[in-house]
Amino acid sequence: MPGPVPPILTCRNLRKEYPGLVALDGVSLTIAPGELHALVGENGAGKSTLVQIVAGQIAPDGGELLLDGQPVASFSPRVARSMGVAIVPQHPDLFHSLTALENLFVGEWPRGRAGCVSWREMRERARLVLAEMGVALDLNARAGDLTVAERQLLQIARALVANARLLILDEPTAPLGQEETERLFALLRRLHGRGVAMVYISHRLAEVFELAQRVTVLRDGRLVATLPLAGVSREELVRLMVGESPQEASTSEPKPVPERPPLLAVEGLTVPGKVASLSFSVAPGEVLGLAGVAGSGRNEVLRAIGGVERFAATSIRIAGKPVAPLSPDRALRAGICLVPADRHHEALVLPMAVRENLTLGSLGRWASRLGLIRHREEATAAAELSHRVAVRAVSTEQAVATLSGGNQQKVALASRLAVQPRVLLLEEPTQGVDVRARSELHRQIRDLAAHGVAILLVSSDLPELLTLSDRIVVLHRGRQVGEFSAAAATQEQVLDLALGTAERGVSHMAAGRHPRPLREAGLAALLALFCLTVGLLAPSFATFANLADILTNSSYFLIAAVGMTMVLLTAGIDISIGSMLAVCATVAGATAAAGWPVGLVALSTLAAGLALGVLNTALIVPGRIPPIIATLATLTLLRHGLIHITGGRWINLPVAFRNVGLSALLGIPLPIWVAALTALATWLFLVWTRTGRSVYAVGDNPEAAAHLGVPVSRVRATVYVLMGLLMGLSAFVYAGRWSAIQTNAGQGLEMVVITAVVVGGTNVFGGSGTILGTVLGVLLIACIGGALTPLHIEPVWEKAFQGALILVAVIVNTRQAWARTRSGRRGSC
Amino acid sequence: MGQDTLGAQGVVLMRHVPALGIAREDWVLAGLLLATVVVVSLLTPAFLQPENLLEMSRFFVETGLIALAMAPVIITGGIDLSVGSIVGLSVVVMGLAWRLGHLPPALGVLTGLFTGLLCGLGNGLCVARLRLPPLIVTLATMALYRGLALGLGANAPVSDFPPAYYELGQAYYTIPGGLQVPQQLPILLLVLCFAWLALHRSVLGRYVYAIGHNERAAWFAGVPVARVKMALYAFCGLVSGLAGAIYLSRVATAKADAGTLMELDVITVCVLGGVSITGGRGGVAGTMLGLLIVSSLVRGLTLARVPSEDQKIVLGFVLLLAATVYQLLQWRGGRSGPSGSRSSGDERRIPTAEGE
Repeated sequence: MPGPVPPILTCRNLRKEYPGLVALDGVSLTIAPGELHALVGENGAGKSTLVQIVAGQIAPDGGELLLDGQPVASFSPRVARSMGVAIVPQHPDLFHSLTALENLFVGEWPRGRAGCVSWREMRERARLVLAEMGVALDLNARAGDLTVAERQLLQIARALVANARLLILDEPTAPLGQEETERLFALLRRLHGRGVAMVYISHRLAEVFELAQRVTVLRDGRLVATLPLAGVSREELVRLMVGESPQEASTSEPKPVPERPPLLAVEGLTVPGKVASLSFSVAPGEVLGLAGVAGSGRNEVLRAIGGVERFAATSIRIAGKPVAPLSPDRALRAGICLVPADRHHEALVLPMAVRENLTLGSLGRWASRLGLIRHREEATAAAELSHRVAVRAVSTEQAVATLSGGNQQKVALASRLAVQPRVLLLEEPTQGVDVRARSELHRQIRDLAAHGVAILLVSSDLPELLTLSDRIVVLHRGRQVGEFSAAAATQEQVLDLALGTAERGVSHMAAGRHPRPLREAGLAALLALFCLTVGLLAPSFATFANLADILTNSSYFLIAAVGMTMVLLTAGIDISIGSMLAVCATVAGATAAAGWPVGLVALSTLAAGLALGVLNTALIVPGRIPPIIATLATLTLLRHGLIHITGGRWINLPVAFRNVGLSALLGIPLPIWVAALTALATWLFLVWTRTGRSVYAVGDNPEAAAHLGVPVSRVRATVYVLMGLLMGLSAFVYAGRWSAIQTNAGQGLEMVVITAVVVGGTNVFGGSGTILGTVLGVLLIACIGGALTPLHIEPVWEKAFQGALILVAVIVNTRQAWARTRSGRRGSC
Repeated sequence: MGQDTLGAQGVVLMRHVPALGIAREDWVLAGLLLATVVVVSLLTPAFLQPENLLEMSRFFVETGLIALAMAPVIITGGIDLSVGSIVGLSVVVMGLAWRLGHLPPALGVLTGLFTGLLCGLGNGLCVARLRLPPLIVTLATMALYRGLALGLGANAPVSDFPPAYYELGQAYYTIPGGLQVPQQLPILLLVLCFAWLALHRSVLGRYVYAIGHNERAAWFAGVPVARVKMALYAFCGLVSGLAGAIYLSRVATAKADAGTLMELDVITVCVLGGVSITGGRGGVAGTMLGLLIVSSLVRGLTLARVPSEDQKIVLGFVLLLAATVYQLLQWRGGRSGPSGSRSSGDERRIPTAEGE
């Protein structure tokens, strides 16, 4: 629609290829300013690829992109956002351990006075946007604790906060209920009224007709048509999306209703927050389709029975015998087999060969009693399976990753057939699969049913569901709202029930928002209790002089822990800090012994630390060596390099230098000052600077951070460089406390430091943790160490005690973090 | 879409480790080993004497044993930093068992093995059942087990063992030709065969690689992930106990600092041998080549009178070099196809899960 103003977005001949798959093939598209443009197409048509390119998340292999008529050469998420393009992705791209407020501003933290992050401005702008949206969201809640619908709203709010001129919404209503959907539409209309252009992607055509002015249809990665919606009927649109469909020869001849007893009988199945007390049964040879919109609980039903989702049930029986599918392997042993929809992460091990994937679940059958695989039998079985579902591959030794989507799906299905299941659970069996492969898969499914397998089917593709199923159960918000014989059902009937308006079912409550106890308060109480108890048992412990001594001696340790906190926050690790301390302390000792003035000694020590930090950074960030390996190597190199150079000699420190370490300011020893100021400065850095906030974002969800334009590599580099610098400082403080520097200084320091940081509540998976927690963790460990002597505990047990303590801390800490991530994004198994 | 052929260039990506467990990278390693041997033997002609080579094996058996057990752990994407401490703890326990119970050598070794197994089970419990990050867990147990060793072994080292205790680490078999084969060498060969069968020929081995490449998909396919991991960490502990027994026998003293920093040697051997710390890659052949390269280097440096501290520097460089080379290889592999490098964020972006 070339008007007087240039279109806000122009795509010309975009092309994107993946191995074995052309995701986009010469797609062109223009979006006029203020236009509401719908993008439709079947699964795998290339919609998501297109919007990811527009959002700068993936680079096209060909074609060009113009914003406001200007060609954009190097596109990145940062450029996209600065040009006012914002995406609300299908799967929320959130930072689960950050607050809702901060999620809105990742990558765009507003600058206040002195370049600091202005939390006040964040709060104000967030309130404005939420008010405009007409949504009440708890800004202080962590994103991981929000409900699915709230997360979706948060994503939209994030786009609005960025003042988007072009808003891309990828299936925004999928997790929303009717009421929430209407609210969203009202909001979108208001935004549209304000001149925001939108690209709206949805499978729900009714929404498309309700909202958009023009529609672009994609099919198999190609552009089919762009037309105004005014002159097109729903049927025409569907035909454009589907193309000349091979019509499947309509082989869904009504089968005689099987009068056999059910093979799978489920009673009272409940998945917390998703499915409420559902009962159904499937006869052998029957295909039961579960219909429902996304979020209706249909997938959870499948996943619960398949053993991958937690559930409660009155009973699940197979051929009358109760079974407990509590994990996939237990489900398999009961004869239940799930074929998950997500081929890349759940159904297949992509880098492994077709053969290995085909037999992975049934290896025991091709193995001797000792567990050795009989390779010839395995290869034969794999070849047969691959032939049975007509996998097109050069050889069964080819990696599955190199196959096209359709062939991957065939491998996924066949790998489950190898175990000869009695009940097959199919989740989106033809998603993102081309037409030919689809009809082949359909034939397979019918064939399996004909052989007496009971099949439970979930498919977003309603026509597919209707042709394949014998019977359809419709779910709405976790409850059954209807049942049809497939022969009698029409798409409209099913959809009508699935979209259900009246009945209220299970609401989308996430696990529930439990108030998060302040870990720091608990830790502080523990520390106080410990000091009090020890003080009562051994009065010599609780004297001011003793406590000050403990603090002074652990100053260097606190500085190291502060650095380690930052490293762990980014989900990294640095185990070379003990060696760094030794090298830097030697530099301090050598320069001090050479009679340099204290200032110069400090400078050279810091410079040494900085250099070592840069060394680690070079290995880890541009060198891409895993942090544990890189720092393991530098740990060895630095320590033994030092011994080589010094010949293992001690360096005696001149008295003048030691006086600095022993001096005090306002009655408080200098080392404590340095450590306290370091902790304070780091706290300020982490809380009030954009880089500091990026540290949390990168550790929590590096992909999402990259999508929001956070320079992930630079942030990672920063923390390792800072770690080195802080070790320089730590070494300076350390050197001032001793009369001589030994080459084994700081040996095992990494261990104690990581203990303290983890005890202080920093999540080793990155993303959460505070400097205050670390300070308390350090104090606790220092006091435990300092209490050993007054309590007459033999120091030989100190290390065992520390090890046990860290183990307990990790168990407590990580279990919490794990429980949080499980309910949300990562869902590690 | 719609193309069932392969990618444009028809690139066929074969799986990483062919049936024998010898990967392409292993030939590079074999070349490297050859080069090391040539250089070392040119510097010290005595190196290539069979007597020297056999004597050399006395010093690498312990590291080699643990490396064979560590490799599968790393292939699943895990790590075990506590092996050195387990060696120390089992050595101390064996020493105590002798001092308190005067156990015969066989039973003494059994207590060591049992200690190692318990330690390994502890690690396995935390990693597999409680699903804690292996790096942190074993960093903690590294301190815990060493701490227990220090605590239990506080009363001076035990060194009054009867001669029978020194069989395992100091005795020799005489083979035809008059060569003296150290007793511990057959043990290594035995464990080598077992590890090779387990990793490259058995169901368990296939599971190990599947978990390393994609733990979630393996779990979905019915692989008992927790049990596999449990078994691997337990085995790692058991073998560390065995290494402890050999160590005790070889040095004739039970001291709490036995095996200190041994985890570094073991991980160096594994990484050098091509076992990828990110999981999924590596094998027994590579690990053994890594062991031979490291020990030839150390032996060569020792013969050349390089102090042991400086040898560590060389090893540190070797580790870095190996990590860099593998990173480059992986990176290039990642560009020619989706090589399962899970770190490349692009893989997730392959459009599949549309809808829902």
